[in-house]
Amino acid sequence: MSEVIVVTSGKGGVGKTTTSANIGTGLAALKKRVVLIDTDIGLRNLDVVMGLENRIVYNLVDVIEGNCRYKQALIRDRNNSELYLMPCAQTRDKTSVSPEQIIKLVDELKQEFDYIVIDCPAGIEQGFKNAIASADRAIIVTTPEVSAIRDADRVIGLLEANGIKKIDMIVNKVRFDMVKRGDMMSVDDVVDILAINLLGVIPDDEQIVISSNKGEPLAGNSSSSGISYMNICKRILGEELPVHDYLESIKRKPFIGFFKRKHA
Amino acid sequence: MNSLFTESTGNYAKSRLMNILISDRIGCTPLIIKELRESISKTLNEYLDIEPQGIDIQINERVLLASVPISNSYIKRDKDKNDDVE
Repeated sequence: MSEVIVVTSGKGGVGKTTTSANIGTGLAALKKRVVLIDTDIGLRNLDVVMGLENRIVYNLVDVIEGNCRYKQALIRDRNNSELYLMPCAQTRDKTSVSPEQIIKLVDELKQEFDYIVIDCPAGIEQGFKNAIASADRAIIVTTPEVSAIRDADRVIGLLEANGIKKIDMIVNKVRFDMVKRGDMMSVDDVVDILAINLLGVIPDDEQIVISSNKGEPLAGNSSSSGISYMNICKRILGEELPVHDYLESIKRKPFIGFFKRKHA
Repeated sequence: MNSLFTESTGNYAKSRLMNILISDRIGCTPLIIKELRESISKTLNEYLDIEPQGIDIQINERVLLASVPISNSYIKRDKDKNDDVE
């Protein structure tokens, strides 16, 4: 039984693509057959983060328009033979594909893969609608910043309105030194406010920049982020691992549950 | 430290965010809060002698808290019957 995961955030620059690449890499390291789909048409980047930019021949739009079979567009990862990337078109725009077309493609991919990880573009327009159309579950990536959390809240509402019930969150780019001196919201604060399940915490780590320089996701290596990503992947597979990647305890209490999220 | 922020900027960010999300979620602008304030003031004024300019409304933790100063602490309705009510 395969599962379709959309990685989304609303706001740009919070780390969706890096997270997608690392989740894909981590799940593949855990012996799952994984395909990563980049749906950020016109602004593709997942290929670069994966270090596969030189191998692109066909892309998502080619597949959807029938210029090639989906297998021709899939690029195998350099390090893991169970991991594939479906790149998207760089010279087209979001209106080139529809949610129905994505659903049809993903249905085909489900025959072959255990996990289909969809990297969603920023925003809540057409590209977002395409990306979430086929998703069974969603991973919200956010950072401890007012703008990112505000957008995450909006996106959670939209996902719920689209019938996606399983929504988890990764708090990214946490500066523990700043949290400690009170100059950054803590992971607890973010969990408090958004009131969804915390899948993991990723520190603001220079190793992530280095890994994207090299085009090699760090899930599975010995860096603290590499370990955190791997733990996230294990939790995705249902393993019960406590989120102890940060200093404070988790307490969950929806702070404004009375005012329901806007579903439109 | 910036003298504006006696509290930490992290806590300040959190309280700003809470206000933003309430406003986003119930779709109310500061204008609507103003109307709400006037409406509460009008309603309460039918029963109590209040100081409308002193009304403070906060929405947090599932509760709307309105603090309303009363100028003379007697209930208008009962004034004639019960002069001793303070």
